[in-house]
Amino acid sequence: MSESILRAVLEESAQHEWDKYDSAPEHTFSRKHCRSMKRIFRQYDNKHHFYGISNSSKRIRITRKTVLILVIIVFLSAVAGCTAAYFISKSFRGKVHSDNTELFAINTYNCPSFIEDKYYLSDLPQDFEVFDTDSTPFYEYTNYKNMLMGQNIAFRQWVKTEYDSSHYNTESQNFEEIEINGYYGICLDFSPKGNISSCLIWDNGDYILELSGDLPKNELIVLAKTAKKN
Amino acid sequence: MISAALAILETEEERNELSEFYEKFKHRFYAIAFERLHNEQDSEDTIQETFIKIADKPGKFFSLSNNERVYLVSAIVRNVSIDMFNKKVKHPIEDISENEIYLSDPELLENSLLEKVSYNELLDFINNLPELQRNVLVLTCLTELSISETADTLKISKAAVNQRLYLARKSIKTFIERKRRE
Repeated sequence: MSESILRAVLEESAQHEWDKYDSAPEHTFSRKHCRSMKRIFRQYDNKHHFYGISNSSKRIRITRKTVLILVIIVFLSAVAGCTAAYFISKSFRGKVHSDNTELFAINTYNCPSFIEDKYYLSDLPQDFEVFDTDSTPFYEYTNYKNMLMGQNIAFRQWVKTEYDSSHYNTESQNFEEIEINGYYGICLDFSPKGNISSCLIWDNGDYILELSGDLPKNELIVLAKTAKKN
Repeated sequence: MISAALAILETEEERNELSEFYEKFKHRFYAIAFERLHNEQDSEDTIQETFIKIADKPGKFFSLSNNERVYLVSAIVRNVSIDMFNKKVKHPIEDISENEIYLSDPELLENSLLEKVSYNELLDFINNLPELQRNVLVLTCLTELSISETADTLKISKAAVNQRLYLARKSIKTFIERKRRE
């Protein structure tokens, strides 16, 4: 016998408990209940489909091209005289201003209300060391510095409900859709403007994570994939 | 377009699967809730709340076998019913401070100890464990939810999950040791 015996016993106990209700009388559910249940199943469709909240790889795919076109249209309309316009990606919605975009998390339902699991970068590039940190119950910040090259990497973690109203410089660049370990996010790549730097923001299901630094976008994405719970 | 169409099919398939699961077992779930609440409206609300929880994070549900799905949903129905009952009689379950650490210690029930008692004796004992403790044992051992997932599913703190697991395992250990002495 081993610990597996505990599982076997538990299974039999759970089955025994379930069998007790085998001959449960049929209850006539109220109309209100039936309507509510229909609504729950209908909402399941809308929620897991439209916004692609589930992790399945076959969920609806908004291509990078689609997002770029959408962002360009929104950006142009903002430039054309509107004070603010809006865009939506799989994990974020944004309010586009003339020189920045304000991001909001889409799905904050049932997310932790304070930081329960702290994330860190498990595979830092060579010569980067922790330079500065900041911490509140709702926010974690770690700044890594490469003293030799003068490069910075900033890693931030927010409780989703505290993330709203975060502004990003989109004066001359557009968001691109990215995927980090099966979770959707968006990216700003400043490199084409001369400075090698980029910024990734993604919703990992529980928290909003942001990784920015003096690295090309692709290297930053590889680094973002090493984010792990402490 | 093709992937979008596939996504629609897959989501519809999942929704139908969830809906069929509900239709198939709704009377049993109702009976579980009613046994604890003795109120039709509250029992129906319990079922709604349970399926909202599942629809909100369906990944775990769809990764389980049929039997395991039944155990998972029954455990949630039981827990929601108990919560609702406790709220109604104004007898809230004592909140566990996050600072109280009850780490679920696998060594507490080492294999050699489990060998000291017969299968049926252990089964009888587990059948009579307090419901809340048995619930976390079922969720963590049978449906293999992590401590975080169990806490999330039952809407309790991780400390409370750890405490219930600790108490359950400790009771089983005490029971086995008592049997060994007899």
